[in-house]
Amino acid sequence: MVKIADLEALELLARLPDDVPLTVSEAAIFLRVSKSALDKMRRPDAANPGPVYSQGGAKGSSGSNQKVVYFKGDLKAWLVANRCSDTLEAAKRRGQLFATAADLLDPEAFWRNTAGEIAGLVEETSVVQFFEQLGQWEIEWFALGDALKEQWADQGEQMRYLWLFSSKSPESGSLLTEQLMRQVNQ
Amino acid sequence: MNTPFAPSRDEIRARVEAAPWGIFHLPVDCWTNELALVAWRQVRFVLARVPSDFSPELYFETGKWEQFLELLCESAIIATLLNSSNPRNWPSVVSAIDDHLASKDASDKSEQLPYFSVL
Repeated sequence: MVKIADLEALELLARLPDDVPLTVSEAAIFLRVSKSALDKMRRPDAANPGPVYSQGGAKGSSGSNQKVVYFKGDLKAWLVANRCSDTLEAAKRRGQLFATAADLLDPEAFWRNTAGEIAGLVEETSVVQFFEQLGQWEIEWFALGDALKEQWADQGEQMRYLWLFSSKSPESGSLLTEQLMRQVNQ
Repeated sequence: MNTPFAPSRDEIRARVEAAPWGIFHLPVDCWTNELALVAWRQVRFVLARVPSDFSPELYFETGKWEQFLELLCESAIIATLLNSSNPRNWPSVVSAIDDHLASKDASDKSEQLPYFSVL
């Protein structure tokens, strides 16, 4: 789950030039994967090889006892090449974020665009999009039910989340659906 | 001794009328076509507006969405046909289900009116 500290770290990382070396932990925040997932991606037999890294000297070099560093430019290039377009993966991420009815009460970070509309969950934004939107759009924290009462930029996305919300919390979901049905009929 | 919780049909119907999405939290053996129709009013509203890459079945226990459609349409074949294309044009699926329900309703009514059948 995305943490405020991670978002702040992402903002700081966004301001750094591409040739600044990053630690494995910083790279993991930047890529929004766990540190152990990134460690696995460095194995020679990794099913999903990760970004180019440097270990003790020249870029791309390796040495088992040397400190691993990543360069921001390499991380960005890897993200662009491996941009997640798999909707099943996105659905899984949403499912993990809102696994139980109690999770629906936790505030999550949502984008609010310049028109004042909700433009999706920050967690679902690729890092490339994150940097494009940062500074233009606001990040606001809402429980999902409260976010769904707002005006959304994309009604399809709002309904996708309403479906998820209603599947986890049928009473509140039914009330919310009824409210939105009334708004549409007005 | 504790008696197992077994709400009556009227209680279940009242529950689904109050919270239509609650049908998916009821055991499937409580479901009826009538309950599915009650829930459909809200389900169709959301389904008609989701993007084409949306997969409704991912949000429920395995098989529950398919069973809901089957019960709603009262036909496994129609439910499978409606649910099979991918990506799915959800407004069209909703519209096809609505048409099917309307034609089924009309045919049920004509069967209940003997004077029509002899005309």
